[in-house]
Amino acid sequence: MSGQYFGFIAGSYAAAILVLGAMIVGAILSYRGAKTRLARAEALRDGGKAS
Amino acid sequence: MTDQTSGSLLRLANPAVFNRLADRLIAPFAVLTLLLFVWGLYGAFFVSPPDYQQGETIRIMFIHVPSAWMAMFVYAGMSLSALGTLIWRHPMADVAQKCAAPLGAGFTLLCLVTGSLWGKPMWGTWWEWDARMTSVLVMFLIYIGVIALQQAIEEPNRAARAVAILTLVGAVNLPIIKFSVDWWSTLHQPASVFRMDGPTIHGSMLGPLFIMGIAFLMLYITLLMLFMRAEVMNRRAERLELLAAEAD
Repeated sequence: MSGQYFGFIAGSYAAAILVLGAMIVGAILSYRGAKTRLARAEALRDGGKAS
Repeated sequence: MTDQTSGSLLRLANPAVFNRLADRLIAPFAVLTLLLFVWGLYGAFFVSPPDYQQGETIRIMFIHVPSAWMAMFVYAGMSLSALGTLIWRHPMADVAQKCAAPLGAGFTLLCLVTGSLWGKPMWGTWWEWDARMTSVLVMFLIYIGVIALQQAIEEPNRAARAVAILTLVGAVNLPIIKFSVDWWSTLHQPASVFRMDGPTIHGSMLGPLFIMGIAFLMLYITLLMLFMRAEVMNRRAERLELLAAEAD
């Protein structure tokens, strides 16, 4: 019975890995991108103050 | 709501307090989420027996049901944030709503895909326009609409208000999803966990299901904190960039 439905079960878990994985990667990239952007903006502000 | 609770919520709504708390919680929450997934998946595959009618396809339930719970939970949270935006005009409410939408859309998509993969072997069809499935599809489209509206309006305050209104209008769909299996004759089975007379699922399946539910919830909280932390940083960077542009 399990063999008969293996593709459906594997497909469900593969979909979970894809969707949840995309959410995790998206969150990490978004966090890292924002951190870099903020650091650049702060450097720009500090550079402006110094000059 | 007591004064103490509302006071704590107000403190959390301060971006600086939120940042400090999120920085402290993200790593332990991520570890806890991983452990819960390991525990839940062990239960799903090695503790839970095959269902007497559905056989091994019951393993799909451990992904499908928690993602369905989360799809609705996230939308309910977004609706509360929408009230926070419209009534108290608090920027953190808008940040929370903006960051929750893609996560909610992801859970809803997963619920629809796994439901389809479970439906084919059990019902003989990938999709049926019955009330439960259609109302969940409508919720997915509302999530997409909310995300699209956020991107479409450039002025942040106008975008926040428009998104909050759309979110609240879409909240009408939540009770429709929940009670669709009772109000209409559907191919989808009626509720089997959250029922007035108790769950109809055996404990050997219910335990791993709840652990997977908590794992999904913890994953959501962890990712929401990461997204919100990023959004707060982006907004601060945007202000600094504007100030720098004005100074030039």
